[in-house]
Amino acid sequence: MKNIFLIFSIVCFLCGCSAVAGNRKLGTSEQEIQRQMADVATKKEVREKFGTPNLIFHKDELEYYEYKNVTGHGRYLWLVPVIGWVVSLVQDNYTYCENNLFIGFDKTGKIEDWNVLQSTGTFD
Amino acid sequence: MKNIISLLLCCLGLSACAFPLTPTENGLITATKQFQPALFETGARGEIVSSLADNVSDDGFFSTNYTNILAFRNVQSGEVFSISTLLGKKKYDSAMLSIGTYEVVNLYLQYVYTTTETYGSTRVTTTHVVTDEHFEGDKKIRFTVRPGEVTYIGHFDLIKANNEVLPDGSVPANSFKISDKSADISEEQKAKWFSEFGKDFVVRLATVK
Repeated sequence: MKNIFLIFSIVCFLCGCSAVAGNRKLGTSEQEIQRQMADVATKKEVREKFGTPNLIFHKDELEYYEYKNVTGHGRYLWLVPVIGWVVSLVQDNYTYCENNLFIGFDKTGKIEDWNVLQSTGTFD
Repeated sequence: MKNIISLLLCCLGLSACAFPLTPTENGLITATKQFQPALFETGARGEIVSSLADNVSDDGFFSTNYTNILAFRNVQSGEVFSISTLLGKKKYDSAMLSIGTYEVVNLYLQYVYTTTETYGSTRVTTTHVVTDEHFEGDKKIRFTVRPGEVTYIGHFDLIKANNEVLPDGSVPANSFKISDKSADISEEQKAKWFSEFGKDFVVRLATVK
């Protein structure tokens, strides 16, 4: 019981400083998105799985859907007394990871191409 | 000992939810305007660059340095972004955005403004965020972001004709002017952008309707 409480507390703490924006159905890691893409083959299935795309555009005669989400975390340096507090004053307070899924469809609505891009950075 | 650690972690966990280091959704969306070459090359993104100035910061009404802010919304998704400059310190700002049409929702000047209130023995310091509708009312400033293009959308002059300061500390501009000052951009600045974005900029000024 004590161990469960301990694990729950740690999870609570780690989740407390994170947030997600954008498409919540889209996985938050490349592996997860690849798993999600394993069983979709058409535009209809993509919409059923991920919902309305964030962006629709055309490139190389294909219609592309873009789905995206951004996960952000606060930095934990402020937990370290004195040194952490000082460092927290001069560096960005947050880190983020943006996941972008691009799916290209041919004229019949079949998936021709898909690609996952991840970018990371910091912000204040 | 374990009980103490558990209790400590639980308290930290609960306090982390309220701690200012939890990012906001708007903060996350804003963070995505940072230039990322791989995303830029997909054809889903474009880059905008702009400069802003005002008649307040130098020797105008308040004799202090203000941040000039241009806030704009993606017409399709509703996501709101902003670019800002601080006279004398940062002349230009840029943003990588999804392709599409954007509409300016606000033009204003702001300085670092916080209020502190005391509740018993606790002092709470608050920084205000301004989301006023654009002051021109029916007039809309629009610009378009095109795939893989670096677009100079113009120089924004924020003009203030009174000394009104809103209760939240922001200072609305009374009028504005958009002009093409691309000829004034230094070769050094152009080289810096070219090095960062991998392309020369194209001039397509924001339009007012």
